[in-house]
Amino acid sequence: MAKKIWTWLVPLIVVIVILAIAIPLSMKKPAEKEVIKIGAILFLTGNQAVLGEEIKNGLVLANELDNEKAEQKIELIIEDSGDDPNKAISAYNKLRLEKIPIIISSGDQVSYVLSSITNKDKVLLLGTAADSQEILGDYFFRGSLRVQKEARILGDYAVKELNCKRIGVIYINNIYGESFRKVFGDTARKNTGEIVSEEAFGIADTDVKTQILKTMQNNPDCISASGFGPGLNILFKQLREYGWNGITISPSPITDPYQFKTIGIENLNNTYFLAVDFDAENPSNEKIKEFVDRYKERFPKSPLPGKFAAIAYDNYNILAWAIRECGYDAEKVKNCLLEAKDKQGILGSIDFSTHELKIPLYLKKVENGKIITIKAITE
Amino acid sequence: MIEAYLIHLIILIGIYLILAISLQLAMGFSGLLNLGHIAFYCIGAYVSALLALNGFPFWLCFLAAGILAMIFGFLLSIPTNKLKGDYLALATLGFSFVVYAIALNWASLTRGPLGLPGIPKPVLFGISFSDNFSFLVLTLVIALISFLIIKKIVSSPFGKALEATRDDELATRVLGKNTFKLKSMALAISAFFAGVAGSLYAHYITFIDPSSFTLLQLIPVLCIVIIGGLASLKGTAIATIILVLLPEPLRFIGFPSSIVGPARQIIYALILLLILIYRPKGFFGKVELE
Repeated sequence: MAKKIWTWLVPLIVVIVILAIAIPLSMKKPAEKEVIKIGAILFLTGNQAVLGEEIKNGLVLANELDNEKAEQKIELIIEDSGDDPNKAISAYNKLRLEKIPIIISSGDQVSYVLSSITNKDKVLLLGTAADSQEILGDYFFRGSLRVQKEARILGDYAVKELNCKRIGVIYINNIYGESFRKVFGDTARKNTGEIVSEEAFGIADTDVKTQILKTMQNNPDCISASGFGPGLNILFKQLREYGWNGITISPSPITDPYQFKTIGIENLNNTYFLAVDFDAENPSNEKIKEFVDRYKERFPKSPLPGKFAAIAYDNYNILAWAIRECGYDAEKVKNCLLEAKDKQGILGSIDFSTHELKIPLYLKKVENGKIITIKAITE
Repeated sequence: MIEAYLIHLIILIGIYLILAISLQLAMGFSGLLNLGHIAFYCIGAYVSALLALNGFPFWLCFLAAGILAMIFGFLLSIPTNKLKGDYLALATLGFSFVVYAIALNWASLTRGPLGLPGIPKPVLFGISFSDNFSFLVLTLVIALISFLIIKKIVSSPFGKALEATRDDELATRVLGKNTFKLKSMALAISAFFAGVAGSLYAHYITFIDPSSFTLLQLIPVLCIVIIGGLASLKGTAIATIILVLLPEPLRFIGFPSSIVGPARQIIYALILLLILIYRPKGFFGKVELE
């Protein structure tokens, strides 16, 4: 008897599930005035959920503030990818059901997979936290700092200016760390520097002593520590535990408040790093101050915003500007972005003319518990 | 637009079905609690992708993916043959970590964390499967063939011997059956189909990296097998459809994204919990999970 019930019940559940999908799909809304929609497929769950949340907050805030002022509102529809391409494609297809021509994505794998579809569908894709060099295409724009660029700047500076002849490299074992390691090493070698060791750590590692010991055994002049997440926090803390007080070089993810505060400024002495002009605790201008205040007001339970939130905010605003300026169409927005130079965001002058986000970068250093700006990067 | 959405979901159902019924063969029919199944999926995906990127035809990549995964399945069965239950689960789990670490660190072959982009869409006997509808047809045909082959296997005398080994290995040996050979063959065949699923996945997504093959990816497949019921192919097929489609309505309900993301994970966990409490054999299971 029980078996008989299940024999009917299970197919019934299948039918209910299928109907639950099909009914909303088939219920077409009556023709309404053109509503502008931007889709966002972000990693809100999974390993990088912290970053995803920050990006989401930046986008939501930009959307709300923009809608307060604008006559024609923009609806922001956010979907979770879990950093999984399968889920991302489902999310993309769902957004396409609503005929959304402009989508923001996060993550390398997801952005790569989506870019191959969006380029074919002629949908504009703006990738954040998407560094992979393979993510290309006419309809793809990279709305994040490029790790390869940071690696080249830091590799040059380490050898030429800091006189680091022997460098130990400790990097996160993912697409970000691998991209950094390669370009940083190539640049240092080109400038007659020597990479004495290369050691990898995992994003969630709780102990990197082995990597530190192996690096220090090679007597480096400087150590390059690149990555993000809990692993990077542990790396910096354990470097100090092992008595490393020499020069440390790190790309911009370290400036994220979550990283910076967890590591503690006392563990960052003599660390050179790249940063955008954004410090939520000490805003350098009125625009940033206003952004931080509104962010705290809107997301009182979230940590202070970092560069990911700020970049997301600027990315959204330039998209909104392009839509209003040139029209709600992927092709028109694409051309508009390519011609946009010197658009002012909270991070300074924004340029998308090469499909890549160009914003001002600064080389900074922690000295005696204080952050010192060494120079602005002009390229 | 609707077609694209549904086609993608059905392709996923096809790939997950192959993966789940192959795990069912090892776990449900042979009693091998194999937590390394995702490693065979990974091997299949990488073999197929690497060969395809080096210009080999799809049929060769596809077969090589299955065969190499099968060889690894057989090799894994040698050291783990005397292990049972939790111990076997741990050993096979260890195997999946090893395969993951190789995919991540053998950068000269796999490009490590950078992954393998640009995997071509299949071309078979001059027919291109580059659009999603044709890929769906290919996936469904392969899923159907896989289903029928595994159904044939489990209803054959060999399949009965596997079930006998699962229920009482000693008694099976006393009856003159070589249980080592039986279990090795079961694991190898199971790995073959997982490799085939991996090949389909790689050619569909066109980009793979090690993060696609972690333990997290195994969880939905395990859920399908347990919810569908051990040793039931019908249950596995139904559970595959349910678990792939179930989270989708959430996208349309209009919950905020902060709820939808975790809700998908909670749904899987909740269903699994309810099934384990109220119906330990799953929908159509013939044996209980021990």
